[in-house]
Amino acid sequence: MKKTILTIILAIALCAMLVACQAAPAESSAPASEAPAATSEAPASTEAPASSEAAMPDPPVSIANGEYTIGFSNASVSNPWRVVFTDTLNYVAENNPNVTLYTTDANEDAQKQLADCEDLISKDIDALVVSPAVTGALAPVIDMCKEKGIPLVVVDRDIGAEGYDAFVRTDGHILGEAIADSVNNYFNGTAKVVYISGIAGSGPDNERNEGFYDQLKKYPGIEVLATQAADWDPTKSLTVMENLLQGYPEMQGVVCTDGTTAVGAWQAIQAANRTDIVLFNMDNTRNDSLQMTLDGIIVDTSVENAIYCGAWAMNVAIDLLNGKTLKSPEVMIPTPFITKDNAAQFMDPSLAATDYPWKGLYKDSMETAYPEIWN
Amino acid sequence: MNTDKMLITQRPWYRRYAFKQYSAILIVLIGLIVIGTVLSYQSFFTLTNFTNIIRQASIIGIVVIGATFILISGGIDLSVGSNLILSSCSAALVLTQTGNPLLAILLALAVGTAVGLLNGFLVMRFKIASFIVTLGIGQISLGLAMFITGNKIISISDKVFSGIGSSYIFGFLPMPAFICILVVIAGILIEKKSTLGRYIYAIGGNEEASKLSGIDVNKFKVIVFSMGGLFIGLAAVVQLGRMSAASNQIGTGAELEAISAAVIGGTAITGGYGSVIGSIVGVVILQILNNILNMMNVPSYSQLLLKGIILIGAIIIYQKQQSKY
Repeated sequence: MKKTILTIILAIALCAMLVACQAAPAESSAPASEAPAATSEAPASTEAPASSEAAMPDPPVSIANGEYTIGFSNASVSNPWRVVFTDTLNYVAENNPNVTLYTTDANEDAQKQLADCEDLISKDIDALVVSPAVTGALAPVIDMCKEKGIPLVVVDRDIGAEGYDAFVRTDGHILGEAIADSVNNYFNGTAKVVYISGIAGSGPDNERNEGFYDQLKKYPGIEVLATQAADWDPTKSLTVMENLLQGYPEMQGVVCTDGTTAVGAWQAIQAANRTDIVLFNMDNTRNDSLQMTLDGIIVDTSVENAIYCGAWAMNVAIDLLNGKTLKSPEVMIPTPFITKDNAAQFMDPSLAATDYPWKGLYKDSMETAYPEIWN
Repeated sequence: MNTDKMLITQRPWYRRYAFKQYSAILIVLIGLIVIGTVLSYQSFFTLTNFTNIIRQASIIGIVVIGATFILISGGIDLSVGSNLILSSCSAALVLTQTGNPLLAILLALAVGTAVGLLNGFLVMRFKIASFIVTLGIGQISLGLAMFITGNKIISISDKVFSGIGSSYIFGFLPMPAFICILVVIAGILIEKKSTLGRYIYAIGGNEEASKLSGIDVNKFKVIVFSMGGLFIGLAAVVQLGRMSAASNQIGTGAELEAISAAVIGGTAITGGYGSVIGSIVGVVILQILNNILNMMNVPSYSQLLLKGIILIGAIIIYQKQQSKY
């Protein structure tokens, strides 16, 4: 009996020590070292944190006027997009020596995220940044932040209730509308297309679908033969596209709701020797889908859910703590239209094909759109 | 004093079997609290933090009581998460349409119990392993929930439910924790003081022998699964109160958490062994672990890793212990 108790205590102590050793370097700033996506790439980025007091890092970040502790409750890092999204947030924290960032990650579990927010708030943070796992399930967090009197910045996905200080994202409706226009223009009013959507029930998916279908009502000649969901996953979109090619051989175009979907769909199209089919894409931040735009395979994309919304959210939180006021709590990140002509400036060939080159677009947005949101 | 030759009832309270049975898990619990305090003193050892922990543990705490009895009886319930989802979604829909919180609460309890009853009935009638039955019923419940909600999130705003989720009793005890404590007390009474409890242990320990000694195994199997379902319905009410929303994503994975907590608390997967106190301590242990890792800024994949290690470690240790009996 004594031996078993001893074994249990030793096991727990061992685990605790392992965890403590791993967490120690992470205390100063959130664990960016785990991210496989390279954020320290060649073009114009001086990321030496020590020197940021002397020179503004490039691309720029908001600098804190005092010692701030910011909590970030992430929905998850369960896919590469989210990993880079979290990196952009860490980028701002790393370049801000006066800011301490506490990160939690809820693995897409709404209840865990509620618990995470409670834990962060009980750590006496100065501001809370949240990327909700499930829209509508975190309304209590808004009340908690109001009680504590700390600003709440929602980023990437909708929290589903009013009362936050800022909601940083792009409106997916704009994407859907823009692509509907694009399809109409390309086919001169008459076409048969298929539509591949993303994760059903998620905010971005709802918005993009709504925007697209609402705008499509203006174009009665465009017929959507079928809609299937591929969860923004290239493997699923490959299967979905194969099935659609089988079932609707008369299709002329495919509307994809993100770059990874387009990559998977294109593989299926090539395999079926149907390269006459045209692809349209709504959200295009990956190197490989940018390449496809450059090559003319994808016609027009508008960029959404700018992966650097994490960095924007941190900048907004820091500036709110610095005392600035926003013109409106709805903070919209610009949605540039990417075509064959300008795709090259957003790509970064030094990164892998499946990487997200965000610094170019981020720098652009910070110089043009960011100062406009403040009073 | 040498208590080995005394009857259990003659021993002083700290030497009774019951206490000895729980001592290992209580030591782990205290050990964790010590580790948490040492690692992040200002944030961990505060009333707010402990209140948070017990509030966060309440929903699974209620679920685990039912799950423990099912495990003790030799079965397993893999439909817990889906049942939670279906019950909370039904209650949320009814609430948004009628605005009657009492109706919503009753519906949640009814749906939860109904699913449990279905599980028990199928296990009893067709003699299929509960593993398969609950797996299938779980899929059906989840599909049904997605169907009735249209895959959308149902937000509610009702005074009774938000009271259940965020109010305090006696000034400091969160309501979800209070409900959980009531359920735990009921569970302890069933386990130790009722015929139902003893029969559940008997059936789990040796089903053939129980049947031959006159216990209506079929009836009690149905009862234990229905009871599990009832507790899930109650947990769904608390969950709806806490989250103010229901959807097919809120509540997934609950069966894994409940079973992990029960196993860490000493319940044997094969049946016959287990206790309500052990399971609830298991739930609190897992929640404290979550809390400590959050406090220390550890990313969630490490948390998953750690939970898995502890789960396997616990099973191995309990097996070694049991082989001594």
